Amino acid sequence: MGSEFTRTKRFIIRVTVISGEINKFRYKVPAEYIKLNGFLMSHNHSWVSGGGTQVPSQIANVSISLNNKSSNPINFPIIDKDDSVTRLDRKVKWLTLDETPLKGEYIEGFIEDLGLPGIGDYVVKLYFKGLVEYN
Amino acid sequence: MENSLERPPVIKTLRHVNYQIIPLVIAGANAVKEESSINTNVNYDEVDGIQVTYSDPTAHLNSTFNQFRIGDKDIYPKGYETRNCSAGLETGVNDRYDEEIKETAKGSTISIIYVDGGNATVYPYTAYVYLRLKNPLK
Repeated sequence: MGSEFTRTKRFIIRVTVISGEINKFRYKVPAEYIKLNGFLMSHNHSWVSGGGTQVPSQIANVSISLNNKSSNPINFPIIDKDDSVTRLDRKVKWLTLDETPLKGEYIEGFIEDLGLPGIGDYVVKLYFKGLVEYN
Repeated sequence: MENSLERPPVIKTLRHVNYQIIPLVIAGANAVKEESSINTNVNYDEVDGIQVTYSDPTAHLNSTFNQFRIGDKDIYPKGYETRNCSAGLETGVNDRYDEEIKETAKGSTISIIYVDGGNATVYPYTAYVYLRLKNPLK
């Protein structure tokens, strides 16, 4: 939580992931953000792929750079059957960031799908939260 | 003799914390439910927490807010998954709230557009949006 003069606001970058491809994205950070302090990711593949005994496995990699590639804090695998998305027994936790976006700077990166068989296209949502001035 | 069982005078004071529940009845798969006729409790200064609970165990899957505003402030962006402000019974009731909320209450209009993800086991179901309201301690 920021000071009494700031409030937390969130935005989402949606990326449609084509199976087997490197899916690039570029997003201009809204100028009102004075700090980015959290990141969260979800994808809809974990539940559209149904039940069964399939073992969770890596289906893609995500890499995200901030402030025109001067900072590269997010490099993660994307896991199929990620039950943190589907289960309600735990509260969602945000990854802590400490980035000060400069005005007009971009968040950019890519999602490299590994092209595993039986995995079609899906949508990844990249959530960011940060502080904006309270007005 | 004075009756010792006489009740003390009632002093009406507002509690420091209160909770406001907004039930959203979702009629069918992929239904869109709009609610904009509710105001926050006028007796409380601030909304400082939000959580969503469900009457159905799988209704949260891909369900989103297309709008969540308190007063003139956007709280969640379009497409924000309700999962991100939900937690089950295994989480302590006080820990289930999204606590990075700090909005003026005082009768502010609440405007919610909820989009069902089409994954509930039974329709209709009810999504309950809880607002935690606070007054500063004096």
